[in-house]
Amino acid sequence: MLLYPRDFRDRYGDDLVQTLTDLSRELGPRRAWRRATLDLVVTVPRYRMETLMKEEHRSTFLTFAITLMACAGIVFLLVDGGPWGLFVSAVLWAVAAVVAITQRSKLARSMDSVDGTRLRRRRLITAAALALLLPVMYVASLYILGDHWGTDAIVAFSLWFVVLIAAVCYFIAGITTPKSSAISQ
Amino acid sequence: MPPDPRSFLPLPQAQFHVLVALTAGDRHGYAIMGAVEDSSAGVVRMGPATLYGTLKKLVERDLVEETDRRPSSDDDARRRYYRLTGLGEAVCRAEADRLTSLARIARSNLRPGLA
Repeated sequence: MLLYPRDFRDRYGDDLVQTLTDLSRELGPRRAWRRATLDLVVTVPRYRMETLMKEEHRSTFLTFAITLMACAGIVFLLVDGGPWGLFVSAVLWAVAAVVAITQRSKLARSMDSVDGTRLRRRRLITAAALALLLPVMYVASLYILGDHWGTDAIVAFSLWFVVLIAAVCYFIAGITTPKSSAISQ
Repeated sequence: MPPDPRSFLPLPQAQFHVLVALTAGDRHGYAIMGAVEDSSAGVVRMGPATLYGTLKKLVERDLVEETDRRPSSDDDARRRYYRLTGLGEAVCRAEADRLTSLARIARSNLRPGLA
């Protein structure tokens, strides 16, 4: 039950249990659970995705997806500087750019409807958390890798770089987010 | 102004099956599940989460509503009953008409032996 989104769980949790009990009584526990498990596998990702794509979550999801694709592009370029790495990076950046351009109105609209003060604080806290993660990652990579500087080090450096970019992005987004009073309602 | 029932079409299969199940009267979740299975001759078997996910969407679209009315007094009070709204009935009828005309076209286009 915990796998389902909270609003669905709160609203229909008891009914789901009741229905499963009825089903178990009629079909037997084994067949009832088989049907429920298959149903779970299909519905959990769908309902999670639907919740994620709701208007109030859409901007977070889109921002996350765009940032992830852009960062993955950088990682590919750092790991493989050859034509293959360049090609994959270019594709990822192109997809990120297309998503950002086509969804720009949704991103802008959702920015207007949220509590600016809360969003600003959340972004700055995320930036601070990511910034704190940087020295930890650096020390951990030194400890784990030691003097060995091979592919592992490139991956570690890429991850560190991604966290650095994310921290900077969140910081810029945080300080440029107007407080509630400044947001047009 | 109430929304145009045709703007809801085409209905997803699960939603149409649930609406059809509720045309026979108010039912609780498990009864809807059984009715869907019966009306589709066992072809459509909904799981509990699919059923309640579908009901949630139908309630959000004002096609179905919860009701406090119980068909019998000895029924489990914890069960939630659902019924069609006026809009739900209109949408169900519109979808049935759409499928009927589609089936008519299919029958007339297919060779008699295959139809």
